[in-house]
Amino acid sequence: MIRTYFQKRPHLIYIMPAIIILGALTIIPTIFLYGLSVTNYELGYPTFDFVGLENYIRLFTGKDAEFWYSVGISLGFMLLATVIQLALGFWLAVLLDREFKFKFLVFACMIVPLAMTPSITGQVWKLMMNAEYGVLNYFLQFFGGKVIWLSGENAFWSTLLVDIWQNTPFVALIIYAGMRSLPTDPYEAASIDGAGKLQIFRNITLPLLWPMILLAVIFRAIDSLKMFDIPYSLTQGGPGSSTEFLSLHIYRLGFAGTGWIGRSAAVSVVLLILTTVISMILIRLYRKGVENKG
Amino acid sequence: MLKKWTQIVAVVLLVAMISACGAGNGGNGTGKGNGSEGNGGNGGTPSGATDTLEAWGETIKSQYGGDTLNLAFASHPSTESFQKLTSDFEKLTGIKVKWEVMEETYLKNKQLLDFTGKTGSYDVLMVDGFWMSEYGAKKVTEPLDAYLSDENKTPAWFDYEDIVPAYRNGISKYDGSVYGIPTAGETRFIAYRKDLFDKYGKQPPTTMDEYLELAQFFNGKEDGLYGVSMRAQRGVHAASGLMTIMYNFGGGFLNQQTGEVTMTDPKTIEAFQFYVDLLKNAPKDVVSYTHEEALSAFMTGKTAMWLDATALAKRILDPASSQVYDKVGFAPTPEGPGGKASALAGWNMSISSQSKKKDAAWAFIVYMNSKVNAKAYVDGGGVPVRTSIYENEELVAADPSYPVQLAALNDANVLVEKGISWIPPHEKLGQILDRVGYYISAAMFGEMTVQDAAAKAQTELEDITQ
Repeated sequence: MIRTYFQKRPHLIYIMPAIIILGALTIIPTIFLYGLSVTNYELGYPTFDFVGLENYIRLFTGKDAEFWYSVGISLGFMLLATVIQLALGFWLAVLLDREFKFKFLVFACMIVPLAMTPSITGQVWKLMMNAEYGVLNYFLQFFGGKVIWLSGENAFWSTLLVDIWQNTPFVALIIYAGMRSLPTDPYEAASIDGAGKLQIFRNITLPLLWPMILLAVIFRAIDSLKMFDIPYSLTQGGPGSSTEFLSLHIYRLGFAGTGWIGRSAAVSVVLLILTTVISMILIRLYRKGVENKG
Repeated sequence: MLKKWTQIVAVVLLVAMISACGAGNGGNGTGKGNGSEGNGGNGGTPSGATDTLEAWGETIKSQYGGDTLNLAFASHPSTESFQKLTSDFEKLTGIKVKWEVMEETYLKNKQLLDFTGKTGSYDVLMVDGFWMSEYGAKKVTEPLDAYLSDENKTPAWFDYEDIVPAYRNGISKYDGSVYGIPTAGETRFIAYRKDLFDKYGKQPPTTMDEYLELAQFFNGKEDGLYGVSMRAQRGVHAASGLMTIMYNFGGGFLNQQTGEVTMTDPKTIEAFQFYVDLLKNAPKDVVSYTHEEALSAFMTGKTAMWLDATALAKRILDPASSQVYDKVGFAPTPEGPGGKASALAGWNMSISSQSKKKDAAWAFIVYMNSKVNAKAYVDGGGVPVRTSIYENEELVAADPSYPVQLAALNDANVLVEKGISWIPPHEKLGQILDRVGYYISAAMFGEMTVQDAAAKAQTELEDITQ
C-alpha cells in the first residue's frame, strides 16, 4: 500500500528527508513554544496551569517594564547596524574593486572577523574595552582620552561597534562579488554617450547591484534583530538594561535566576513574529528587485 | 509489509523498556557494572562500626565501594579545597568522585534543567543559601533530617552541632527541615585603607552615617581614588548589595512573619536611598560590579573602603593578588538606625532528590564536612563554618580578620534572635531578587526616583508572592 502511494507521488521521496528534519527541528518546537506561551510554566515545578493570554497581556499593558525598552533597542540596533554596515561594506567593496598589490592580504584580514565565533568576539572585545586595563584605552591615553566603553551610556554603542567590526566584511564581500559579475556592455555604452562618473554609478551600477544589496540587507537585518551572542558575552545585557535586547530579555526571563518559561515563551513568540514580518517585507522587496533587473 | 514493521518496532520498544526498568531497580545481574547494589532507598542502612574514621571507611567501602558519584559544584575556594581532599576520600571508601565545576549562574541553570529533565545525573549538589527555599519547595534536594538523626549514617565525629548556629539555621533550612550542610559561610564586613585613614586622621565607621560621610570624604580626595566599592550589578547582585545594609535600617523586602511585601515601608526606602547615595561615591561603572569587580577595585587601591563578603578577605590579605595587602584594617558592618545586623549567606552541600546513590552521597558529605577534616579543609583554602575553627589559635594568628568575622557573625546572630532570616525565606526568592535588583539599578541610573522604584518593585513583588 505504501509502495503504491509513493509510486504515485515520486517527488515525496525526494523532499521527505528535508521535511522530516525541518519538522522535527523547527516546526514541532515552534508549536510547542506557542503552547508554552499560554501557560504559567516555571522551571522546576512539576505542574503548570493554562493562563490564556495573560502572558501577552502582561507584555502589552506595560506590566513588564523592560519589554518595550527591549523592543525599542532591538529595532534601533537592527536599523543602525544594517545601515552602517551597508554603507561601510559598499565603500569597502568599491575600494576593493580594482587591482592593487597585496589584495589577497586585505581579503585575509576581512575573513578573520567573519570566521570568528561571535561569543569569542564578545570576549576578546570585552578585554579590549576594559576601562582600566583594556588596550583601546591604552592607545587612547596617548591622545589624552579615556572612554568607559561598557558604561550605561556607552554599552549600546560599544555593542554596535563590535557588531560592525564583525559583520561589515560580510556585506563588503557580497557586494564585491556582485560588482565583479556586472556586465561590461552598459558601461561602454554609457561612456560613449558621455555619462559622468556619478551618472554611471546612479543609473547603472546601483540598479544592477540592487538585488545583491537587498540580499545583504535581508541577512544583516534578520541577524542583528535576533542577535544574542555578542551582547551576552560582552555585557550580559547590562549595565542596567542598556543592552538588554529582546533575545537577552528572553534568556533572562526564562533562565537566569527567574525561570519564568511561560512568559519567556510569550516574548519569544513576539520576536518570532517581528522577525517574520520584517523578513517578509524584505524578501518581497528583493523579489521586485530581481524582476526589475530581468 | 507495514504490519510486520509495526510488530518489530513494538517488540524492540518492549525489550528496551523492560531492560531499562531492570537496570533502574538494580541487582538483577544484567545491569551495568557500577552501582548495581545498594542503590537508592532499598540499600539499607550501614550496620558496621563507624566510631572512628578508619572503621567508618571500612564499613562504607564494603557497602558502596566502586560507586561513582557525580558532583555539580560552583567555582569557589571551598570547592578547590574539597577537591584536594578527594583522593583521600576515594582511597578510604573506594567510592569514585567525578567533579563538574562551573560558574554560579550557570550552575543553577544546569541543576534546575537537570532536575526538570529528570535525568538524575548528579548526586551531590553545591547549593547557595539563596536557592535553598526554592529548591526545598521544588523538591530538588533531599531533606536530611533522617540522615542526621541516624547514628549509623552520621557518626559522632561529624559533630553537626559544632557548625556555627547562625549558619545551620540561616542558610540550610526550608520550612523547618534541613536540606543542606553548610560548607562555606560568609557574613559581610568593611575593609578600609589604614594608610589613608591615618593620613587624614579618620576612624573606621561605626554607624551608617559615619560610613556615608567617610565615603563622601574620600571620594576624589586623591587622584583616581573613590570612596567605596560594593556589589551593585543589576539583578541578584544589586539586591544582595542592598541587603548588606538594609537590615541595619530595620527594612526588608518582605515581612517574614506575615509574608507581606514591605518595599514601600519607610525603613526599606531609607535603606534603599542610603545605598543609592552611598554608591554615588563609588567608581563610575559600579552598576556593572559583581563581588569580583568590587573586590578588585579595592585590591588595586582605587577605593578607600569596601563592604562585602568575609570569605573574600583572604584575597585582600594575599600579597600575590592584592596591592593593598599590608595597609588594610577590618571593621564590622556599621550600626544603623535599626540597630546592629550583618549578612548571613553561604554555600551548602545537598543530595539531589533524583540521585540513585543517596547513601554514598551522604558518606561523601559526612567525610568532607566532618570536624575531623575541618582543619585540613581550611588549610586547603576552604572557608570556615565551624566554631572550633574560629577559635583555633593557630588559625587566628594566621588570619587577623577572624576575630572581626566572629564579631560580624555575632551581629548576624542578632537577626537570627529577632526571628529574621537574612536571606528572605521565600520559594520565589530568585524572582524577587531579580525584580528588586532591576529597580535598584534603575534608581542608581537616575531613570526613576527611589520612591518610584520602590513603589514599582512593591507592585511586582505583590504580583509574584500573591
